[in-house]
Amino acid sequence: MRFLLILTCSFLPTILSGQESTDDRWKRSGSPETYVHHIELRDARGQVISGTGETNQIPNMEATCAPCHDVQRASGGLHGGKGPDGPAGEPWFLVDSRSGTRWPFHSRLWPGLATVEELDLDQESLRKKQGPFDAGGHHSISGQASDCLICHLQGSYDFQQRSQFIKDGKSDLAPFVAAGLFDSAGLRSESRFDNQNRVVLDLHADAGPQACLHCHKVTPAEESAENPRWTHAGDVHLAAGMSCVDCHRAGLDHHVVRGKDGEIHPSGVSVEALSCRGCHLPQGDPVMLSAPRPEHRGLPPFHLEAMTCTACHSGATQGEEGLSVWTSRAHDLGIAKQGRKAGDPPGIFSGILLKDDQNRWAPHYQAWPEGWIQTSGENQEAEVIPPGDLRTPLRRTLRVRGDLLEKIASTDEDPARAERSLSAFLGQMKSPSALVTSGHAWERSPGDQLKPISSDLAGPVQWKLGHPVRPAAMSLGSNGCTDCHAPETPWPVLVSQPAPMIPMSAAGTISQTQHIDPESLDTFDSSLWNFWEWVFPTRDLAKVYFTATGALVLLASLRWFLKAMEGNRP
Amino acid sequence: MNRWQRFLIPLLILTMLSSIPGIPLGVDLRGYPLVLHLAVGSLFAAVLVLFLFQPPTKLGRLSSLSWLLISSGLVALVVPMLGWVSAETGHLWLETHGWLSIGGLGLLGLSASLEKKATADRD
Repeated sequence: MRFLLILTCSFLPTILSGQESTDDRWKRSGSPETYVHHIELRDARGQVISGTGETNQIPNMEATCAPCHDVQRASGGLHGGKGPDGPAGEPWFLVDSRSGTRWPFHSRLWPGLATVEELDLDQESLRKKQGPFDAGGHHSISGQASDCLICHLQGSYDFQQRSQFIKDGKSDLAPFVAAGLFDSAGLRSESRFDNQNRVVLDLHADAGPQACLHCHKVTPAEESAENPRWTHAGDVHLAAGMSCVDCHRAGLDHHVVRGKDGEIHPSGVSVEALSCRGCHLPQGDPVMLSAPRPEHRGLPPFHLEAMTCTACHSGATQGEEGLSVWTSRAHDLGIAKQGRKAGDPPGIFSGILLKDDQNRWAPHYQAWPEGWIQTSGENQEAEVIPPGDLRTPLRRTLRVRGDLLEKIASTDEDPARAERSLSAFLGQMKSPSALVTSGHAWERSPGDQLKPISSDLAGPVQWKLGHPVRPAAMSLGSNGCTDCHAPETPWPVLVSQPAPMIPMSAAGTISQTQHIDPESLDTFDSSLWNFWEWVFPTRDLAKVYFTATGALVLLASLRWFLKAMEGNRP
Repeated sequence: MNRWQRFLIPLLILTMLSSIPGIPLGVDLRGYPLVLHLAVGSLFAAVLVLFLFQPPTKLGRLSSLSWLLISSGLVALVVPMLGWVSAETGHLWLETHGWLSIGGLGLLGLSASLEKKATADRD
């Protein structure tokens, strides 16, 4: 009897998990190929929305999908804001010209970012500003319900309409308007309904790159007559016909693979083959679709250990380092608006080569915070002052009724006057405060001056991103070692400059990016780097030298060996 | 003793010593040890050429085999340097360069000790 009890207890978890995995509540086509959805739209109570007649029912995504899909499970995952924080990704930006703030933030605990609570952002403002670029989910930053259609509806999703409806506070209706099932007035498009109240939706597990790029697009901000934006190459994988989700895969749990080396997937599944290295340089047998295996002939092998693949195959190139870029989420890409300028805040730069969490050189994107902080007393950390808390003090002290940046721009040509005003404003704050701009925190000093102080909150934030990926012929090193190892090349150290909204005269002349002196870094041996720079242009000579000496000594030693074998000496 | 041999052996030992940081399997020599190894090794390669074109008249089987191994090691280095193999395979060639050179040095030591013993026996 006791044996039976132990046996039952041992197998109980297995039996229960088996029941979970064989849950038959959800409909499955059983095929990974497209299943054309003929479905009824349902309101929040699960009532079917009629295609004809008068009704004020508002469709609800969860209720519409739930009869066939485990929406609860699909609304979580990394894409839905759940799961481990992992290495830093692109932050959200709070850009507020009324207070001169451009602060990076995220719900995940990534270095250098403010939290939603620190910025005192309420759900409504998050939904209006971040919502258009948030697919939703149980833990999403905007708090919206999942919009399944934005990722899974192929082709005809109207992103602009969705954004407008979300901004208007109608986020429930937004996906259905974007899909054309409701019109821009929020009324049913009756022609889309059949006589059984069903609509047809061309839904795909992979709706193509366009679906992802609604929110994850990056494009150069600068363009000129000589270098227009349309001449820039896109990602080589997309050009080859692949889709984002070929690498950034996910199961129903929507834990989307990030594609980084050594990634530990929340599901525990091995995702090694879904990184650059895992797909192109697999150990043993080819994986996936047998991606081309690069040979890197002549490249000293330790480069493959010390650098990520994207250090050469993405990010900066010769002459195009530290590009200013626009991203969907930071610059509202995909939403038509006038007056876009290359320097629009928050100011993001790509191609910054930095060491990643695995101590490898990797291309990063970089941006600089700007805004107001409460500098602390002793033993207290500095804190971000939410823009909302600055409205009244700015109005009272500086008479800023609308926009601080406009006010500064309209101040007469003497920049020192604006700085004196800001200093006076800091003096009026209840607790010691400073203005973060130009890579420093500026606090009040005697005579209504501003003096820079160091602050952890004033440094740049950066996140690793290896897109767009370039083919071998366009990568660093395609012209030989001197692409990087030559005195005139800028590698490896490059930083962006803050390009501040509120410039400080004491911060000096601002350029968008600059190469920093390697000797100022402790992560980098500048002497060795300088030596290689000097030596590498003679590498061809070294090849000739070692080939010649190698051939000569081999022939001579072979001759002497054969001669010795003929003799009788041991 | 060949006049080049008095430079050759110290240079060979120095070259070997500078390669110690690269001995762990799977780790390529890099950084300052690589710079030193290349500097000393370049000099050693030149002296080796001179030595082998004017070797001592009494070069035994073991010592000639050891110089053959060291010479082969030098050639193994040239293969990845010229880009004849992929970077991953290049790593194996660099290891081969190391093992051949170490093997050659070991045999050279053995041959010297045997020769010393034979000389002592004769005396």
